[in-house]
Amino acid sequence: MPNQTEHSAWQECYRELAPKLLLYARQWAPSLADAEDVVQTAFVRFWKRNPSASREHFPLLYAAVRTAALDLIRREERRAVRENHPDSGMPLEGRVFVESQPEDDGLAPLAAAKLQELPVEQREVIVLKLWGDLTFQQIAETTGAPLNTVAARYRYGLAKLRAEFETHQSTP
Amino acid sequence: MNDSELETQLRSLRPVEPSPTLEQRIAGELAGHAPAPTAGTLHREQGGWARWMFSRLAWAASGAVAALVISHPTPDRTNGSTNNSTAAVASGPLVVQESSEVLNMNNEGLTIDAEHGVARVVRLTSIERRSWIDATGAEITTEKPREDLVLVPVTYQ
Repeated sequence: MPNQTEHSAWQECYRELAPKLLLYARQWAPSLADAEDVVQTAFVRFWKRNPSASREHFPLLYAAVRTAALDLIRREERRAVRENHPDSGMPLEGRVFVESQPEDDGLAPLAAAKLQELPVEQREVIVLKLWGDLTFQQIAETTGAPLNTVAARYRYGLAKLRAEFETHQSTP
Repeated sequence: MNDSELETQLRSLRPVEPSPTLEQRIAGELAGHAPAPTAGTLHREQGGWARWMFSRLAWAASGAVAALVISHPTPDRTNGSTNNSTAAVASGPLVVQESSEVLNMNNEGLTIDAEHGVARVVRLTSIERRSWIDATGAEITTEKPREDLVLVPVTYQ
């Protein structure tokens, strides 16, 4: 049973990271509800195992979310095969990754659409870097990919996004 | 637009907030009594034949449990005493209750079994409970989830 200090610690962590973890979970989860379930599973698992976790441990939550999301995918794939629907996979509903700020000039829908088109490996690194505020080293530890690979994925992904945005801006 | 400008623009976008209930669900689960995640769970409607089979399996399970309880040798009988359960539990925890509960039964479609031919696959989800008591009166109960795939041969009229 967590004491009051631990209770406050997880709540503080939740308020700071929940939207970011949810965004990360949505890279795999087919719906917002699935993504929330993934975050719930990862968050609870993490805080039960690490009741005294402090801020420096928080990046581990991204790895926990990744594990829970991949577990969800494997579970769904097994279920699809079991039910003789090997091609059904996970239906993807319209994804809303980010919300616009008043001054962003409609960037959010475009960013969401273009992020969606990136390969998942590149999109994952970009989300962790830009919205998760993780270092390349932390991203490498989270994803299990070599540091140079992570940096390359980020660079290529960002280049694709930039090209799309420049095309969009030059279109009258 | 260079990379830095693009990063700044993208960072200005705010990730979507989770629903208000998510924090409550997590708080409940960390406190030890949370509702389980619900998304992605499919509850299939039980067909007529499934209800029929379910009722018979429930009776069969009850019978099996009853047989276990009856056939379980009690310490009273083994040492010839009529009222020495305390002495019996002193030698180790004593099983005082065993039960099995069928939670769900799903029709998973037809399959072809090499031995029996066409058969229907039925997935049974159940939970087995067992309670022990020791000499101090302390009681411990374990719950073991169980899943069985049962092949029911299909006969054609």
